[in-house]
Amino acid sequence: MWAVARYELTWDLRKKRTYIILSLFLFAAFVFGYLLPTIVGKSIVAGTSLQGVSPGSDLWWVSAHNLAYNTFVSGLFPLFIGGFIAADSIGSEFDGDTIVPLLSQPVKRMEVYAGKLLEKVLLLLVASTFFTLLVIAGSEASVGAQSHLDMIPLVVFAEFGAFLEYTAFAFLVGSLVRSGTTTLGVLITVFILILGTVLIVSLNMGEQEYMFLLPTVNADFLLKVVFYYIFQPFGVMVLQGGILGALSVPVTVTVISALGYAVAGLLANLLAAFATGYYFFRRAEVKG
Amino acid sequence: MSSSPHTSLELALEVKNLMKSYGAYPGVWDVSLAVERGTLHGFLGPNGSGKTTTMKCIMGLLHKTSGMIRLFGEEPDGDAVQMKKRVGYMPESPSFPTYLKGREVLLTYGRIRGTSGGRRLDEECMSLLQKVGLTAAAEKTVGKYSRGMLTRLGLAVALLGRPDLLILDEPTEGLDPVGVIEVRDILRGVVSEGGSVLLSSHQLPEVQQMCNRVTIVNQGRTVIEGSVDALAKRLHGGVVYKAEFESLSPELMSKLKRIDGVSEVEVLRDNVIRVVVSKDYDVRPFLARSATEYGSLLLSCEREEASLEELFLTLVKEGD
Repeated sequence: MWAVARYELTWDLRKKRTYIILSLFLFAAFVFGYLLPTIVGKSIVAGTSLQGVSPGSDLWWVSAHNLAYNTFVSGLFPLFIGGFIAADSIGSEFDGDTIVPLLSQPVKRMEVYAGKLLEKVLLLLVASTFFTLLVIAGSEASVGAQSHLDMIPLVVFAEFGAFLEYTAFAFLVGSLVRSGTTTLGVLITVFILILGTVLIVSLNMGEQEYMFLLPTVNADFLLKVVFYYIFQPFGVMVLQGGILGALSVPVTVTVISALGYAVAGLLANLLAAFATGYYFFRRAEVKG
Repeated sequence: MSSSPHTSLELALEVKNLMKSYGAYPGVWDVSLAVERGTLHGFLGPNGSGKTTTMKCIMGLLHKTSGMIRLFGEEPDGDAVQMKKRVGYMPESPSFPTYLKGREVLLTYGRIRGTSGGRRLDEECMSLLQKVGLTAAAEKTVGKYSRGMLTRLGLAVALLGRPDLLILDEPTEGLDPVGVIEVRDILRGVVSEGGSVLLSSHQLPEVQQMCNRVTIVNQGRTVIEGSVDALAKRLHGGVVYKAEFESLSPELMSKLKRIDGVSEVEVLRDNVIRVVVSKDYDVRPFLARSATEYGSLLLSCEREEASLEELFLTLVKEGD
């Protein structure tokens, strides 16, 4: 399994796509963590759902939140880093027939699948930690010393979970369609369709708690809820303007309840996607 | 097809009545073959006859619909990890991650294979690269390899861990004549060390030269299996001799037809005949004696090598 993980890491580290995505993220970390706080001075991106609980000049977590999830554009990052990098992982192995020498070795398919997953877990953990620290460094450079650094692990967990959720779907789609390009197309289409559907439902009926269970919505929601939980574990959160600032009907839910939905949704999505993905991978035939 | 006279224990690979269908389309209907230990076994058939499908079923890359596959006397179950440790496989067009260098490809699959660790693996990889003639390209990325180089690398990957059985799909495809000879030598080396090889090829003379036994498939079914000589005998109904006489009278022809074991005498051109002998003995002394008896001379007589190509074409034509 470690040998497969090493094989996968070598691949990821030599892909142009990986560096393009990481460069985008570095640029965004700079913009959200340093540039905008410097220009605006205090809380960045007015109208975010977190500005009401922002503790004074402590900007890093607001920046991290905004960077990762709070706008539609930055909401693409989990898709980029978790989904786009992983789109190649299984689909392209079948596309390019490189799956043949891999599956011809005396190794269980479970080990191949788990090895690839292990590498993604480690890669995403490093990426989540790195970007969180980068945002903190940016905010420190911009507005001075930051506090609440004890919440770093929770923020990293939320980012990691969101990234991994997209990876899980990339594994599922890749195992099902056995093509890297198609996997990429399906991920983008599903992302747009779910966000579009949620937007329409939200505008007509207000945000519903079950939405937090949906793939991509759950990933986007996770970090927001984690921040609320840290500052107001027994409070309530008002859900409004969550998507493109267009939500007109505010909904109030307890933070605990929202966190429960977010974490349950994350675990359920990860489990379902990885397990179903493995089912298809196990049965996949190498034709051609 | 002829039934195998061997027990499973003597066989490196045994496939019986293999069937693989893709929905309504049958990839393989009924393929059977047996690879004896320590032999080179040719697997022949026209394009689309089911050779690659059979090999992929053996390697677990395709799931068989029915039939039996046995490796070293045991039926593989699940991922067949233990059995795959003893098998090296090379697909028809080997593909490797293009970002890896030739040496890295071997190191990567060697690690996954769990062949050996650290320096030993590195040494094995360099030795394999040397064996397949890729030492100079060891540090070149696979993306820059030619078709022939990929074939050589594919063979090196199949040889990782010194497997007991090699399953090679068109191992000389894309190679220059020197490469073909080198591959032939490598495979002979494997067999001389006790290994077994199943190879599919379109190069019939190549297979005839290298292989002890062959299996011919057509339209997803095994048509015939056996040693090259035995199959040729079966085609011609015996051993074939080509003889040239000083002169050929009707009486001499009549005498030749009466020689014990001669089943057929055919005039090819002036004074040159083709004699088919159903019994396995040297007919030349009898031909010489008969010629002298009827006032002629036997100028030359040679046993015709069995032509696999002829056999192949005949069987395939029959199948069509």
